[in-house]
Parts: sequence; C-alpha cells; structure tokens
Amino acid sequence: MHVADNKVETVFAPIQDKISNVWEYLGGTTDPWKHFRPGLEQYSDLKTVSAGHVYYLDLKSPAGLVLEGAAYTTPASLDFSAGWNSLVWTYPAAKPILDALPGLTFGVDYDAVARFNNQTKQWEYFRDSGSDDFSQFEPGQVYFIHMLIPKTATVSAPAYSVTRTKYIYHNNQRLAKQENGVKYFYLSDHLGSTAVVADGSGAEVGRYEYQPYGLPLTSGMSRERYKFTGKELDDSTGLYDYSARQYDSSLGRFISPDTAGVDHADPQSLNRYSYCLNNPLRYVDPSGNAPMSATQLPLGYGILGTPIYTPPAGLGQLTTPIWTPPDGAGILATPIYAPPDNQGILATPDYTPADGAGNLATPDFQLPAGYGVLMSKGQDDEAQPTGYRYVGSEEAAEAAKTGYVPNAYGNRAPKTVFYTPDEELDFASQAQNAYNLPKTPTHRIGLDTTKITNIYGGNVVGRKGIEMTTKDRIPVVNIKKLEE
Amino acid sequence: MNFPDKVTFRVIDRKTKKPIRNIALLLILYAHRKNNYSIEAKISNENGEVTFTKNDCLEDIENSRNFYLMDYASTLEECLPHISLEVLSRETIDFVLKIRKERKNTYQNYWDCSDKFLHSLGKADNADYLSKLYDFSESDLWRNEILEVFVEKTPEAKEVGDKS
Repeated sequence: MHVADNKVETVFAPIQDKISNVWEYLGGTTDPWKHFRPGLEQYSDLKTVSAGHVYYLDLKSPAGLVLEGAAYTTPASLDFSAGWNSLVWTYPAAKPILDALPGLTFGVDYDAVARFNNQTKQWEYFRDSGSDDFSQFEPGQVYFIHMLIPKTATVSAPAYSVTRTKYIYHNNQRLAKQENGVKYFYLSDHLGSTAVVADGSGAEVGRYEYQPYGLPLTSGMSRERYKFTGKELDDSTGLYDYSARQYDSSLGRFISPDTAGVDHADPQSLNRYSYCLNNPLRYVDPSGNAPMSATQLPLGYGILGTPIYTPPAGLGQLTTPIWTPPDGAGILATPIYAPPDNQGILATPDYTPADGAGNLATPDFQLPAGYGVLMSKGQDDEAQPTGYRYVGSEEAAEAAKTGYVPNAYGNRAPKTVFYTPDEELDFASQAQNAYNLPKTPTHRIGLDTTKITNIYGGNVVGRKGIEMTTKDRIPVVNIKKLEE
Repeated sequence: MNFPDKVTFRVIDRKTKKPIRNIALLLILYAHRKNNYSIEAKISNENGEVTFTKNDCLEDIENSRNFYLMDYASTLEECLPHISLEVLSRETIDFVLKIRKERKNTYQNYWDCSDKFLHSLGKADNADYLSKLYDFSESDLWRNEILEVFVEKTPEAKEVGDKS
C-alpha cells in the first residue's frame, strides 16, 4: 500500500483492534521478518511504515479493514508483469477472485493466485480447479497473481499493487537499491553518508548534504532509509541506529555512554557520550563504540564521488578487470583529468588481485592512451599489528594471497574468526600450548584490528583480553614464520 | 554428543507428501566452544534420502580444526546434544561453489573440490525450496528409523498446471 512515511502505530491506529501483528518481509535466510505488535511496541522491531513497501497483517477476525484519511492512495489501474505479481486487497469486503479483476480473464491472462498463510506458514492456491484453497480476495490479505502475459488491468475497488525495495551490497558496502525493478545507485562521501543517488543512466535523482554532526541540510531526505554515515534513521525517535548505541544528530551525542571505557591519554574520550571524539568530519563509528578514521588518505586528499556515466569522447574510462560488479551495479568510469582546487583524487587501499586478474594501474608504469590512473594508498611500512592469529601453512598462504584473514570457508560461510590482541609468541610450541590448538602452528599472522566494527567475546576487559571474536574481514599486516 | 554410526534423513514435499531428490542438505553440529561445525553437504537420492555417518562428522571436525587452528575447539563428544539439518539456500550453494573453484589449491586437501561433487552441488534443486533449519535431538538420532524432513516450495517454483 502507498503510505506516507510514518510511525507504524500511527498508520495502523484506526484498525489496531482488528490486527494482532504487522509484518515486513526483508528476505534472506537469517531472521527475515520484522514485526510490530500493537500494545507491545517496546518489543517490536518494525518502527515505521514506508512508501512502496509490502506489509502483512495478522487479522484477529475476517472483518474488513479501512484506513481512513490520506494515508494511502489508490491507482485506477494496475500494471502486471509476466510471472508472479503481488497485490494487497484492502477493500473492506471479500470478493470472488473471478469477479474482482475486470479486464483480466482467468486462463488467458492469469492462471493462479497464491497467498501465504501466516498461521500455518504454508502457501495456498486458487486455480479454479474445484478444490482450491480459497476462491475470493479477503480484506487485509496479500495475494500473488501469476500472469501469463504482462497486462494492465482496471480496478473497480480499492485493491492495488505494491512495490518492493531491495538493497544491493558488495563487501559490506551498500551500492544500490532496486525498487520495482528500477535500479538506483548510492554514492557516498568520505564518511559513508548517502550523498548522491543516481538512476541507471547516471542522472542524479537525489542529493543530500549534512551538517557536521548529521542534521540534514537538504530537504527530501525522508525518501532514503540510510543517511548520515550510512546509518538508518528511525523517523519515530529521530535517532540513528549505530548498533551498540543510538545517536542523536540534533545533539551531536550518543544517548547512552560508551561501554568500552575511556583512554586517559585522549581527553576527547573522557566524555563517554561524545560522538567520534568530537571530530565528526574525520572519524566514523560504525559499531557505536569504537571511533575510527574515516579514510586512510594522506592529508589534502578527498574521495571523489562520481555517478556511473560514459565519459565524453577523448576521455578515458577507468575500469578494472578484477572486480565483477554485483547484479544491478555498473562499472565506475572516471575521466582523466586534474581535479579542480579543493577536490580530491579517487583513492583506494592496496589489495592483492584474485588469481588470474591483473593489477590496477599505478603511476609506476606507462598507460595506454586514454587510460586513467587510479591512485592507491601505499603500503605503510610503519603499520604495526594490533592482534595476532596463530595458523597453519595453508591459512598463512591464503592470507598472503588475499591480504585478509579468510573468513569464507571451504565448507560454508561465514564463521567467526578468533584472534588474540595482546599475546605475542615467537615459538610454535608456545602458541600451541597457550591457546590449546589441535596442532602446532607454523605462522603468526599480524592483524589490523582497528578496522573491525564488531567485536565481542569472553575474557574481555576494556576491549583487551586473551581471545575476542569478529565476523568482519580482517586485513593482514604481516606474516611471520614461527620458530620450531 | 553421542552420535550414532549413521543417521538417515528423508526429504519430503510438505504439500504432496512425496520424497524429493536432488536437494542439498547440510548437517550442523553445535559446538560447546567457538564455532559450530558444518558437515559436508549431501544430495538427496531418488528416495529423497541422505545419510550422515559418524565418520563424516569426525572427518569434517578434524579438517576444520586442522585448517583453522584458532577457530574450532570442541570434539564431537563435546558438542551439544542436538543437531540441525539445513536445506541450503541457492545463495549459499553458489558461494561454496565459487570459493572452492577459486581456492581449489587451498581447500582441496580438506574439503571436496572435485568437479564431480561441485557439478552435483551446482545442479541441486534448492532454489525451488525455502531454506530452513530442521532441529533434531540426540535421542531422535538414536530412534533407529529414517527421520523425515518436510520442505515447502517457494511460490516462484510453481509451474502452470502443477497440481502438487
């Protein structure tokens, strides 16, 4: 249904006594449902209702549902594509399926209608076979119509199609979204904030700017769920969800203290409510309890956000053979040019290409005419590991090849990677005994744990301990062969 | 947990009550400490059946512990007294296929990276079924009977005229 962005309890208040739950299906195999329960808002994880999303209602009785006011609009016609289309029947009266959709002929335009029974958790079907699971559209129910051909149908009662928004990620980065098959691409600033949203042709459809602590400078930002530093803003509370804590951009403060403790050598950390050490332009805090540098670029360099576009004639297209874009994402093309004053060069960290793939172009060799240079961050010889992992030769080889601790595995993925932040042992037998390993390790991998956003585990005191775990990818700083 | 010498599961379509072949299933052992174990996926046969043996578990546990020294700690006996059987999602299957093809040299001494196994895994019909975990207690495994798992198709999997 088409509703204005609003609190879920407000939108469904007129029919609150008729429903027991409101559900939103997010997809995936792990906890794919969010839900809201009237009267138990504090236990609900569905907070707001957004335009174009699908919502499922558990009805207390087969009563009709009517949402009054300007909360929703009804199109006069529905465009169905071939295959399965979703439709919500919100007319307060039931109607036989064969009579409900003028302009569509059963057996010619469509041949089946399905619905998901939230009580029995099973799919039910209508095929006009005489032994169908149901034969009419019921109020408040979501149906799926299987179209044999794409067709536009005129609707005589308030029943209308819905849209679905799907977000596309790569390496934990949100690259794009898909609404009813239309793709939009996210371009972020150096903090990861949604700065520009572009359509498939590269045309800008939204530009968003923020004050330093995250308050919006531009209007129309309610269209996007993910805003400042890429976090989700809860419209009902006005707070950003930073996982460990909630953040109030109007105050520039977290609403609860940092549980990770303070660093007495850094006075900015003494206020445990402060956001990013009071330096929100330089730091980000993905987990809500560990500020980190937003970029590894040298002084004077910024991140250039570009739309996906075809360069004008005479300019080069910067492409890499190494990266296969996820479905719906394009190749980033940049012109060969010297940036104007105050703009930066597009920079990337070093990485090791996958087998069979080449290296990114660097200033160390001559490029063919028309090709651009992608600057990369040089290897920091001064980098010191902040954690260690004692491994066998195969894992050491894998880490050397990819530059990361492998947390995608031969049997399935992903799993938790264990490491130790404090102990440093040079002898293989020492390591085996210290961590009760099943066999003698051959190498010690030094890790950069400053980039980890999720840390949890036992024996942890002030974020130091013997073993801690994370599901993030961990960059490798060095690999040392242990002495026997 | 006390795992029997072997345990057989039969995959059945919830709607038609018929056994389903060519479905990839994963056995999950819940470790007392650190990561759980995922025993190598098996494909259901003509009768919808897959069999996991105690040796399968012991071998996979040893491979996991020997490859990732710091990430696994429990023996089979130390695992909790219940298991899960997972109908793998198509996304997980594609991920495993990708990793084993790209990293064959790394993993081939520990997990099956043969063309035959990867081909059969790639041909599995898991995309037609909802990915889900089915839980069994240790006592279930010792009932000396084939344990039934009822799976359901996704709506996209239904074909015109399919009465199942």
